[in-house]
Amino acid sequence: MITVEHLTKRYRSQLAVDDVSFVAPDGQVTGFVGPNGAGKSTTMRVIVSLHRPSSGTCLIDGRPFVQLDAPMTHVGVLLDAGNVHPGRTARQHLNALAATHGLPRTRVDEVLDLVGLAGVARRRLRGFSLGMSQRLGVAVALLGNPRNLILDEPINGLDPEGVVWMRDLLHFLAGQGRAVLVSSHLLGEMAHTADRIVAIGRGRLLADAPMAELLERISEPWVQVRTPAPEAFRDALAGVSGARVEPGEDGALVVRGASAAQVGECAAAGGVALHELVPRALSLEDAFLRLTHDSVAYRQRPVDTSAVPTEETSA
Amino acid sequence: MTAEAAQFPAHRSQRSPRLTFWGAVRSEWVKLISLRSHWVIAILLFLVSAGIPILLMSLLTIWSPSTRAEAVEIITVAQTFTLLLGAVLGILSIGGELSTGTIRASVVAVPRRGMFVAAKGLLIAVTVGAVTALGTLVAAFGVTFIAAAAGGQLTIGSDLLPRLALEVLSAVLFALFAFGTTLLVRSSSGAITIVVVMMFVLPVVLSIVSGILQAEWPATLSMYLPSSTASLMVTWSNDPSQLPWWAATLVLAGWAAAPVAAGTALFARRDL
Repeated sequence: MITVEHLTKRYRSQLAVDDVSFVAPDGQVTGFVGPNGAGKSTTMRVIVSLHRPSSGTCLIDGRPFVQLDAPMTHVGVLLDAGNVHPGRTARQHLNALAATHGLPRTRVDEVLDLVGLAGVARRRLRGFSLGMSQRLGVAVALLGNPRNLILDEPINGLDPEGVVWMRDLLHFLAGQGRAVLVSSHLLGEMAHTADRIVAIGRGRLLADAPMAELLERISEPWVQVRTPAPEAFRDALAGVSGARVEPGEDGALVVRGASAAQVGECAAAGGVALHELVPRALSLEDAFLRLTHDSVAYRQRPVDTSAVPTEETSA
Repeated sequence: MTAEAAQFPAHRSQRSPRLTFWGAVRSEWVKLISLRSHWVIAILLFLVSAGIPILLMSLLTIWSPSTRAEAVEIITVAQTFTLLLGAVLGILSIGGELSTGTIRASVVAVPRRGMFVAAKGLLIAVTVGAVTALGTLVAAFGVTFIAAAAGGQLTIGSDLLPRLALEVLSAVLFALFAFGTTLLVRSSSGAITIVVVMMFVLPVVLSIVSGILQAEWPATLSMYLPSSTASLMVTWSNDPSQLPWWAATLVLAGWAAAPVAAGTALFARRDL
């Protein structure tokens, strides 16, 4: 279990993490999401004592990271896969880290095999692609067979097959009872992977909830309706308490606070013809954008179409 | 590969894995021997400390057979280069980790940073000591063999062995001075610059200043520089104005201890 309590990290004048508390429980994949610059990596670095917190505490299985007798068996860490010496081979890199805890060489072979790098174990790391480096980073994280995992953007640089592999691996690891904290700026990806979501933006905690609950909360579902008799439809729906009808796109109506079944039955009871009855919800990416909209550190201007002439106008 | 194939066999070793100081030292050993640049410097260190004295003795027997030389002076003739190469090894061992970011992986595996620095420093000291000792030993045998074969133009004092041991110690302390300096300035190039300036530039500057000012103090100051004290550890000068070998050893030990202590203190608090 990974516990973060009232963590604040300030770099000179900049507040990177602002009073963040959350728990990554055992047996679950906790998706740590937020826009670029939100403080995800900083939080992860503080948890493993690479950075010192300005205030607050981080605990791994109830103890500070530096006080663990065998840190590698408690927590496996993938932060920046590029943090390797280009002149070493994959095996040498792993051997050096395994030696610190007296892990046998056979364990190095096991993790190399596990991440699919056994064939390139003797190749120097300067020739590794980003995807291969990520796999090596996962091998490093798994070296100590740890009870907890902290993975910063592990999907970056993986090919589609690698992404599926990573997703399966994270589920598998959590299924064995390990706590898995995995960051991503892609909520859509996290929806396939995470059991819980911890969302931060501009260093502040925005949400900490099970995936399903979070989606329900931030993307209140609605029903899209088309009918030739909108007034009669509004009257028919008046009986459903909490239902609101708003004008939607392109002449459609948007009904909030009622299920598609309720809407359909009311319309039938009121004798209103419906041409369309579609249950809708925000896509995960949209939900994520809504969640973090006000807390983006680097905001670009909306794409200005006049500034980018289309072929027709420029022709 | 799918997760079904991802198996996690339990550790087969009898003891459960633990972070230990000797584990950290072994890890440093693996890192040291796995880089080509380290090998190049270590082999150069051996070749220079063994080869230059042998070469000099050979030339001496050929061109100036009547010259009588003191063995220790021939054997330690390459001391400056030995010091420099040992320093480079000390700088590379930590500088390479800092510049590539490997330091983060290392410090996540060994979060007790004092332990990390101690393991690295110990290994550098032992390695530089061992390679210099080996080179000096080969030089000693080579030089005496050549001299004997050519008719014995060598004076071997009773103080030969302690002076050679002090040469090895000077290389170790100087490498630690360079290692600590790198930890302090966090950059290989910065540390190499500092070491080179202290070895080759400052003594010249101080001697020029001494000449201009007609003063003694710049020369005295120069005597306390790391490379000067390293040299005084071996020369055993009878000149009362020069530091005796034991005082020179203490001063150089101070030069090693100060940056290592300050560098470790800073490194222990630093965000990586």
